[in-house]
Amino acid sequence: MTFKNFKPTGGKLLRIQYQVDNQKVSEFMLRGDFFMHPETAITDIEKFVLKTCLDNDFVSNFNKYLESNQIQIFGFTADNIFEILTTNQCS
Amino acid sequence: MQLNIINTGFNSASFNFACDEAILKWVQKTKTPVLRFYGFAPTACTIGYFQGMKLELDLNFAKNNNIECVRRLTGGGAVMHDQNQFTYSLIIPENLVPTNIQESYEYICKPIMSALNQIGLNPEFAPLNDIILNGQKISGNAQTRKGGVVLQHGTLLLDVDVDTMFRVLLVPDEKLRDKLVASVKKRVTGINQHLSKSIDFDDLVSLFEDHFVKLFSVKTINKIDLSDLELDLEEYKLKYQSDEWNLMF
Repeated sequence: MTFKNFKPTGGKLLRIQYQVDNQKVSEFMLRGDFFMHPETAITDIEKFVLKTCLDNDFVSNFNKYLESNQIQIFGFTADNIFEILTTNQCS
Repeated sequence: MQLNIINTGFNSASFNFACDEAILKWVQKTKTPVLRFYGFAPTACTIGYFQGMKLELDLNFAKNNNIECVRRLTGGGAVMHDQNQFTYSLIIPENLVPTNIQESYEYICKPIMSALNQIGLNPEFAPLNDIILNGQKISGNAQTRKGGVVLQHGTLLLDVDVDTMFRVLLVPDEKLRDKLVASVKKRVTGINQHLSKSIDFDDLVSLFEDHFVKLFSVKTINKIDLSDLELDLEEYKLKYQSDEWNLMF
């Protein structure tokens, strides 16, 4: 399991605990000082990341999920999550 | 617009957030906005909804120093609340503020900035949720929307004690603690440092009342007591004192 602090430029501090194996996220816990409306969507987003492949479509799938569920996030983007999860995979 | 205004003075963090949530339910029912002014005593630390309490706060230090630690209903970061701060909550039906969340932050912060302008300060809004003075943060604000009602609360710093703040706030990397403390001292300020005569909580209450009333085109002002709303605060107070809520993440 990896724990990472990540602050996107102009964004909020993300504190993420995760495990990635073969482009699949098996553990994912997202914490930080960001804003999300509605707040209760956080658990659904964590579940969504767990069942979504870390491929080139991850960012657009994540954004579609937010849009279709009317979730608004301030302080990070889908690209940030992808970067965090894939950078570790490479290192 | 009709506006209820309440000054609950200084209370514990669990009491203050119990008030916020109970009033939120009340506004959902009555559709009448409530503006509340308050402070924190004893000193407390609050964390944003999405933060892990054990990741952000030194809970042993807090316990040994009688600092109550509470999770907020709203996002954002960890904040230490002492008696050198002024806090407000505006709880208002969604249709009375901009639909766009970013715009609504600025809309609700306008009376605060205009009030500070009146006392000779020239604050600016810094998206998403801050008010700054000469590039330094003087106010942080946070918002949630539930059941057609917006709750925005925010803290205005009168004086800042960064050293005490960092005795209870944990930092992501201990090796960088000194650097971080120095950086926060540069980035954050209290308004009293910028005034020729210090302003206190009671002065701010009347100043803010005037500016909220003016900028929100309030036709009817009801200055009321908390008891007039007949809220069941005890239920909510227990929530904000519970590990189930505070240690949820």
